[in-house]
Amino acid sequence: MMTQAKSARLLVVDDNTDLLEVESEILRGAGYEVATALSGAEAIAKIRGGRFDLILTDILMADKDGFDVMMEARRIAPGVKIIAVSGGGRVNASSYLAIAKTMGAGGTLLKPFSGEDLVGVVARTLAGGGPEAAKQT
Amino acid sequence: MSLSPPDAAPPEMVGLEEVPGALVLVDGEGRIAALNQRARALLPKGARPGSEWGVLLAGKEAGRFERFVGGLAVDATAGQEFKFATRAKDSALRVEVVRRPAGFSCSLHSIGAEPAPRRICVDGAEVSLPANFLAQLTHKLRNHVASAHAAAYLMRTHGRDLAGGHEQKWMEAIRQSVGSLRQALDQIDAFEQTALGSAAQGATAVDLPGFLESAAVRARQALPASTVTLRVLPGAKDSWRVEELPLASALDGLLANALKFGPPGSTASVLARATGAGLEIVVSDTGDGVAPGEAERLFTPFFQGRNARNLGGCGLGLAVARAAATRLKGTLTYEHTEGRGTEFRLSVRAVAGR
Repeated sequence: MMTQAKSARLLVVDDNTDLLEVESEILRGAGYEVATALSGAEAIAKIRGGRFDLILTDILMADKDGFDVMMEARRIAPGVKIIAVSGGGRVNASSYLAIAKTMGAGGTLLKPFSGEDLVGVVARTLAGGGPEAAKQT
Repeated sequence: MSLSPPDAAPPEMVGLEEVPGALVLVDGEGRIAALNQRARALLPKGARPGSEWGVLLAGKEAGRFERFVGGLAVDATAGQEFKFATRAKDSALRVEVVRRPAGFSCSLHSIGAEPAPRRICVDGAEVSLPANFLAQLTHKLRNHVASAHAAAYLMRTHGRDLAGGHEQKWMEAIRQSVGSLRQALDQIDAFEQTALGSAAQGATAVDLPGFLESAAVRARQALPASTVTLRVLPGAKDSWRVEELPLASALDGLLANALKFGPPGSTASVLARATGAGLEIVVSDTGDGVAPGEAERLFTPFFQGRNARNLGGCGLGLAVARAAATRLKGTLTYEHTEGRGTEFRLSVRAVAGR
């Protein structure tokens, strides 16, 4: 697979196995070092145990959800950049993503998204410093 | 700092004590502006705001954490309205805090807490639909589409050889995603027909052995490695007058549930017998049973247990079966022993004969 050297280390979190796999492959294909977590609890454990430049997390998950992941990440690693991903749930996806932005997500991604959307939002969020720096897709 | 309100339906006002979790509102200096009883219970004796128990601050220090206690704190230093959110039990809140000369004015707006189900009338019968039905439905479909979309991107961007290892894996991901999407669409179709009664046809003569065999064939087509055993107890006539479509939808939902969540090659048993009121069909499996804490939501539309989230569909199978039972003026109950399988019992009104 084509790769382009990038130094950023990413943690991708989604409780949908299929989606987690393809998301992480896309990002590896774009040259990032990628770790994965199938639940919020697993993500929090990995954040405690390792250093990440960016966390890309789904919002609705079974045990600890994406909001929990974001809050724990901010506590453990205040400088980490976060992208929130959602396809909605009890409220529509844009509501969840708006909430995530108020909680400090530097980028947001609405499901379903294209590979270009995913790679683009990761690059923009890594390059920028705050919520306004990442273009909402 | 300016925060935009989430794009949601008109919010519903809730009181401080109605918030499902602990809620703490603080001012910019870390003073408590308001807190609910659950937050009070969490505070250690003698704790001082901003020290031992910590707060999540929004506003000029957005995102800074000390220690989060399961609640929410809002910095109203700037004297503006801040909109912020927390969650507990799938809820989301919009909190507006305004600094006033005499203190704080605080209002909470629920934007995602369990709203009351929507009730609609179908053929004179009241049907309960989950609130935000379309939002939840869309959510279920988005995941499946997202997987296929992302795998297609991998094929397009990095694919070299259709027989290659990576390419085969991506194509399998697309196949699985499309299969999951198809299952979801089948469930939506069945829910529409049973819960909403779009295909009401009235009772017809149903050949019970043939009806059960057809359901078993459909189940095995969906999961070819599985086994379905059928048994009609003596006393149950071969022919029954009953509305066939909802009965078939219910049995399909129960069989899919029995086979999908067991180990590969699972067996489901179907037993039919006559009762005083009509017909009873019992579907048993040998799976792990219902997980603790999931029983009360088992028939809730879109609910998928922990072991079901990556198996396709959209969480409507058991909701369809329950809706069908109601439509047939019957009941659907279950019994389970943890680790030893579950038995679903569908009892419907039916008349023996043609």
